[in-house]
Amino acid sequence: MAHGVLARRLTRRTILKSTVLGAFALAAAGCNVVPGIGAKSKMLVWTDPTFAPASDDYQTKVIEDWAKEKGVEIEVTRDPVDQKLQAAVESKQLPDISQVDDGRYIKYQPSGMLLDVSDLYAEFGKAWGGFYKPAEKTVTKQGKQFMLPYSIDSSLMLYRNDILQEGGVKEFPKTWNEMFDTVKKLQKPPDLYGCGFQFNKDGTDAEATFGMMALSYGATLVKEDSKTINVKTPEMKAFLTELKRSWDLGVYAPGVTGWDNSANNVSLQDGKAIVIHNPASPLVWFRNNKPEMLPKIGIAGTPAGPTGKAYNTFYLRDGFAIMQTGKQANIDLSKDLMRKLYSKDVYRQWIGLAFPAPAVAGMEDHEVWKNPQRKGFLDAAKSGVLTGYPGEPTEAYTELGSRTPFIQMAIRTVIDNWSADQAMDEVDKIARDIYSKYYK
Amino acid sequence: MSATPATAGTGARGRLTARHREWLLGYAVIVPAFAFVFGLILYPAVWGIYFAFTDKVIGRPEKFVGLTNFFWVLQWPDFGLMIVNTVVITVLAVGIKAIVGMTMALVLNEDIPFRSAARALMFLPWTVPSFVAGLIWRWLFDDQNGLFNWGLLNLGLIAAPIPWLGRPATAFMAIVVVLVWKGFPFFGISYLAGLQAISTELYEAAQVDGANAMQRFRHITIPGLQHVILITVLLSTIWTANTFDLPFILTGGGPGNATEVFTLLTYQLGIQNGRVGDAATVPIMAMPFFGALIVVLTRYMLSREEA
Repeated sequence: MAHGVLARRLTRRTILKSTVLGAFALAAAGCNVVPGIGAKSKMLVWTDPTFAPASDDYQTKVIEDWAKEKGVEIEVTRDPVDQKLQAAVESKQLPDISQVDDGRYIKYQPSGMLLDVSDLYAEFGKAWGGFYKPAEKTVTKQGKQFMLPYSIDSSLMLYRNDILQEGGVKEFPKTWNEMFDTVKKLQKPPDLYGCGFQFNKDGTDAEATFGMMALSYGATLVKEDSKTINVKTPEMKAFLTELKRSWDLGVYAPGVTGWDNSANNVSLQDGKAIVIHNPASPLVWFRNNKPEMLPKIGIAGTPAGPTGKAYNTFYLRDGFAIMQTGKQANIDLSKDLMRKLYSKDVYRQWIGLAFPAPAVAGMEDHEVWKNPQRKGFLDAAKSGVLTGYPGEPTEAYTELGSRTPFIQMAIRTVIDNWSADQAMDEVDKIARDIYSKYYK
Repeated sequence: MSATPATAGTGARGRLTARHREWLLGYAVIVPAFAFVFGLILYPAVWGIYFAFTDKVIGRPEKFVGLTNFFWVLQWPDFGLMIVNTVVITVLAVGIKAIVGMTMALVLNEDIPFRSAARALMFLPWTVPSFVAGLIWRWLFDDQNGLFNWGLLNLGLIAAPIPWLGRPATAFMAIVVVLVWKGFPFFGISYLAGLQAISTELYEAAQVDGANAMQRFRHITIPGLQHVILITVLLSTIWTANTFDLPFILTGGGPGNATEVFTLLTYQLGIQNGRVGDAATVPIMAMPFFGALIVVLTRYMLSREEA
């Protein structure tokens, strides 16, 4: 009986029909999971998770409340945007709004898929007393803006002020040379080392550290025209010589040659390093995990070189791009949402919960800057140097940066015992190879 | 409706003969497999080869550049080192996996207590996702809070943490160790299946003839497993040489360039910099090697089927 029922049900015709129907069903289902194809029209907003979850949650709630108020169906994702934006740009299946930092902007702005938002930029600039100059310089291309800068981060020297004070050091050393000598005296290896800098390509925070140190010695990778390689200079040699001296002083834990990008944070958080060079994430960690330690952490600008000049990094960490989806209704809604995020109460509240500095100048009366730890990041935001300095931020420089040239030279001189000239020769070749792709 | 007899195709529906309907059914059944092979293997492979001859960058139209990308990659400072590292890591890891796998199979083929549980346990590393395995091993090797250093320090065997991933030799070996840990169960299970296909009478006869354990292993086990050994070694060579996730998570190519493998260059060019043309070139250059292995493997398997 059962066999007969099965036989009637499973004729070849039935199988054929099922296969065809199944294929249609799969295709239909597929269309609904690929953004922009066949799916019911709704707004997609892609955002990154940051190291300050409270600010993320607040921003997501603001966006979702705005959508409810407008009667708009919206999906806000809070996961790393990088790879999915790459796929989206290539397949032209774009979200309506994507969070964009300076790196993504350099990479994707030439694709033409970021909407010209000069009107909003002018509007928000007027409302907030303008944007900080480094932010303006980063986002302005041929007089137009294709993204809206929201926050600026910087890497500063985060140090154990309690250890300095106990050692009779009243203030953070002004120069690299002094700093290495100071921490050498204060460290207690193998439990506590002077500096928590990575000498490993996986620890890209150190690229900013060594890059700023090199700048303070007058060394740059490219010249002002942004196209001419400038690696092999006496200034670069002086920087590498000082870095080698610091290595020979023994102020680094032996494992720094294998550290990843979180290891420097861990070294400060676990009391294994006196000073690191990093954005504000360890402060957030201390606030959440060891609040009693937070007041003991000092913040200082990056030390100066022999010329007395010091430089701080500048990252356009949070910003928004409205994408060229071709859906005018969604573009209008996206602009409205941007107005919400840049409104006085929302932006100020977000800055209070987040840790970076705002991209706009008109928030210096915010009470958060009474906290000296946060004030340090505001000061750096105003004067930080852009990637590519002394030239412009370019795709070629970004690609060169992904090869971590300063870390590469550092590794060659301290681990492989190459001479400074050999290390510079190698990076000079890498830089020329990469630039040959961009500038024929 | 009842099933239409295969020979009763008449009328409007009868335009399709029984044989045609069989064909249609056959094609319908292979459609999913074909869609899979075409959509996820053939189509991307053809695009990948095409991109290797272009200057394709994410989000922008490409133009044909001939062999420019190949020359550019060949003169890349670390390229030679990457190839050497890839070959050495592959040879070491596959060799050790085969030895450990064989040991595992021989032990688990014996009548030992808790044999079923031991078999399941030994297979465990194979089931752990590579990403998770990489993160766990990264923590184990960590010089600041890693388990290995914690244990050695507490046992008083070392005075200061060992930077396992911070020294070229130990970082290199760490990658090999994790690759072996992750991959030996595949060998073990394959060899175990092979061992169970070898007649016990052969061993009994050899024992009667006075052959010792080593002689039985050499003259019965190894010949009996030679086909399994060849297939597992070839497959594992392809998988290991293509490994990206474990070196990426464990060392990222460091310290220095000590553990750079060619898949990391592909990632750096394609994912980090969106230079799809250059990135596609690197695996395309490795294709002849892998292609040769696949041809050997396929021919061998087909010849076995025919035999």
